[in-house]
Amino acid sequence: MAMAAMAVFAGNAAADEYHYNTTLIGERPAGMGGAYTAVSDDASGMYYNPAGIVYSPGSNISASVNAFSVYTKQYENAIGNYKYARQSQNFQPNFFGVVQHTPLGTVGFSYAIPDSMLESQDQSMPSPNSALSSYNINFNKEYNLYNVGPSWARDINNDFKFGVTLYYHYKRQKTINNVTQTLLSALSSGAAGQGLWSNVYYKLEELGFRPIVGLVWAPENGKYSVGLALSQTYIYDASQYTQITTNYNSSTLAVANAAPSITRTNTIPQYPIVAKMGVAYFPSNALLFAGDLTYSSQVTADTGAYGWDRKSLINFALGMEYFTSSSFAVRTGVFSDYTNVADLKVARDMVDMYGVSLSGSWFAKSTAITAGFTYGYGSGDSNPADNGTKKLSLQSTMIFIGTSYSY
Amino acid sequence: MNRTVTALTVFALLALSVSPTIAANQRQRISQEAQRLSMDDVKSEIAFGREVAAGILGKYPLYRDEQLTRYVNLVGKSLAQYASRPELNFTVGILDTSAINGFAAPGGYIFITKGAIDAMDDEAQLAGVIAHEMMHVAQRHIVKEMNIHGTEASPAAGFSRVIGGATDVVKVAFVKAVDGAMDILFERGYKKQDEVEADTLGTVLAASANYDPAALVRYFEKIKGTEAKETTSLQKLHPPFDERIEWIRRAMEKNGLAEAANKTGKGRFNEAVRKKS
Amino acid sequence: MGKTTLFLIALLVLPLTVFAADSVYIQSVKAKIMNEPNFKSGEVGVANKGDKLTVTEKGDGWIKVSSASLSGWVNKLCVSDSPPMDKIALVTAESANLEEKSRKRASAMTSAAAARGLSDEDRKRLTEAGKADYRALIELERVGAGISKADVDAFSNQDVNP
Repeated sequence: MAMAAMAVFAGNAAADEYHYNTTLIGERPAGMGGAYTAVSDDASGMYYNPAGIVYSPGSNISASVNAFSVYTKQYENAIGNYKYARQSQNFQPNFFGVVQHTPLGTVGFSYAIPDSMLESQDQSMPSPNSALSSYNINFNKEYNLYNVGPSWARDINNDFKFGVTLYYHYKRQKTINNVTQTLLSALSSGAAGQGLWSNVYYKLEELGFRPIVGLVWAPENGKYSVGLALSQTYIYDASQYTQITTNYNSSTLAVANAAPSITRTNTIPQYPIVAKMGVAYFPSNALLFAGDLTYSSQVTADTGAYGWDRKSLINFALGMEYFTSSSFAVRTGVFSDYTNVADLKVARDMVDMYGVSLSGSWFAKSTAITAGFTYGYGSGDSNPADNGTKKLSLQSTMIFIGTSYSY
Repeated sequence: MNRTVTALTVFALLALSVSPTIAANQRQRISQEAQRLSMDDVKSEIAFGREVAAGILGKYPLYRDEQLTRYVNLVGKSLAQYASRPELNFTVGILDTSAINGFAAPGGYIFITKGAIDAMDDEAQLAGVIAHEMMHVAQRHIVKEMNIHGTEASPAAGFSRVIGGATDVVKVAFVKAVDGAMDILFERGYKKQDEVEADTLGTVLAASANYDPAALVRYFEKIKGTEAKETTSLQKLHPPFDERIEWIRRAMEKNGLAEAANKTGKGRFNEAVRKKS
Repeated sequence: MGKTTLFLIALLVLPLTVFAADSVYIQSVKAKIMNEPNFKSGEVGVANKGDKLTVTEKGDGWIKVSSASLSGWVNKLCVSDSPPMDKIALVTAESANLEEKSRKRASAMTSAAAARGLSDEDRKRLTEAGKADYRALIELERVGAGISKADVDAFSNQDVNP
């Protein structure tokens, strides 16, 4: 039973399939809580609302971000009185984009890594069963989601801009979870000193497209802007591979050298429709306020590889940017990252997270360097081993350095 | 709840109390306005403008009359004293054509056609047209559009390039940029907000140099009714006269210039162009 | 909820309290300082080129400034953030010393080259194609250069009928 729990802790689902807004993408939006749909007027705009890139200053702009992220899950009383914590650390360039104005419109290219985990955990936990020694867990998970592709945008008239981004979606996950225990006293399964071992190897790959269609309405002499962006991910090929190898029978604990159990599926997952709506207000050339609401539609379990119903939800973001001089700006924001889990069944976490962001940017004539962080926190319930609801707290921290360059 | 409402109200009031500077383009942030021009920027601007000026002289020949050219330069240079670009040497040339038009190349090269001068009544009208062109130069409309600037030697730029992986492309593609400038001057015209700026700021400039600010309006009223052929190119490249007259009048109202009794210099103008007064 | 909200709001408000003290420099040879932000209100005084004034308020096209001796509104056209530069003369091709520049990065050299303008071959080609006229430009520049500051002053100050 407990061993089964360990296998379940490993989880086939990626750690953050329960949330849509954990990682903020882009040098400027990340400082503003991600409230960027109505602003979107530089290379980062290709990810939020491609229509806005028509407003990007200069004829060529490129921007990139290097981010160091730490994601921690802490289960209270996971097994007996023991706390179980898992942490993921990751350092990678998570956005790059280039924009250029041409007579046919504004074109651009970008890549983003909106979701990424690198977990490596070696942990020893006491067993509630006195006949068994502590669990030794060696867990490794690599998960990356890539969005890469071109964008194009143009004027409809003085007040309206229209744009599209076509991202190629590539998701890859590999999880290896190895758990060992030792019999302390003789049981039906064997003599004292007998080792029990299980290994779960899981691999997932998804190929698809994520088009984003955007609109910005910003009256020519007004001080505000309204943005709307719609997107949905369409998967055309997906594969899931699970391999479980153990040297014992999980219900009787009797040692048995069975062949590994291998499951191969090609379930095409469904993704929610995402509608982002934003408003921005520019009271002066040094101050900017923005607010976004992002609606993600409901997706039921029977439509794909996800084992639970993802409920519809609306995330909010509020941000501001203030220039203290023509060469320094501070940005700050707050945002929500609600769970898409409607009810707790096995292996579900149900935690709503809230985040804040803060960054500073230094501007030279055609370059800017930004340094900042986002911090998200949530506390809620989880039902990891089907033996009662446990408290779960999540923390997500991202420290980033971004640069943008116009030429 | 009450405390939250109070805090939000305080926040909103503070935010709205930041006094606004009305930018023609609401999105432009102050980091993009780059008021601080370096010597290198201005040198690049002048060198670029010279090539564009030579191009303009390729389209229309120079009207060779040293006295008249000296006169228009004196008007131009006396206006330049109030034009916010003391580092530029403004030069005014006359183009030998009956078309009514004016052109400005970056760095301070201004051209007025002989046809335009023939259609003028007094020095204030000449000053008005020169002031309009001067503001295109002073506000760097073409330079911004073509993204002409000097070298950037700051450590921030170098570091930024290393992190961002962008290649060094500060080199100015001159011929391409000159073609772009000629395209603005002769084919597509400036952006509408650049024309508004040139008209409205030009009016303020002329008034600062003590010229009658209504002169440009009088000039437009007069040439509105001229032979279509002479003003074809002007009309193609600029917004309609009536619109321009309207925003100039509004700018004069706003700046308290509606009743200004500044000079028109009719006598000196007529003497210079050797017309009968 | 209460404390966290207030903390977050304070975080958002904090940046607004940072204000930079602003100064502007007069760029025009003379700048009239007016009582109100328009030309018809009374003149408070006149500032000269290079004068440094403190900004007390920003308006629409006008800035309220003050110095030891005056306080009033000046038109934005007359001022800038940095002190006025001296008149700039272009570097001619012959005078550039490439060896001295060898320690600078390649881009600096290229921009220096760009600052000299097109090459002579390019110019010759354009003149022959009728696309540019450098001889006329040089002639025009000669006429302009023949006008001194004294000439301009005399011209501006000459009393002409309104």
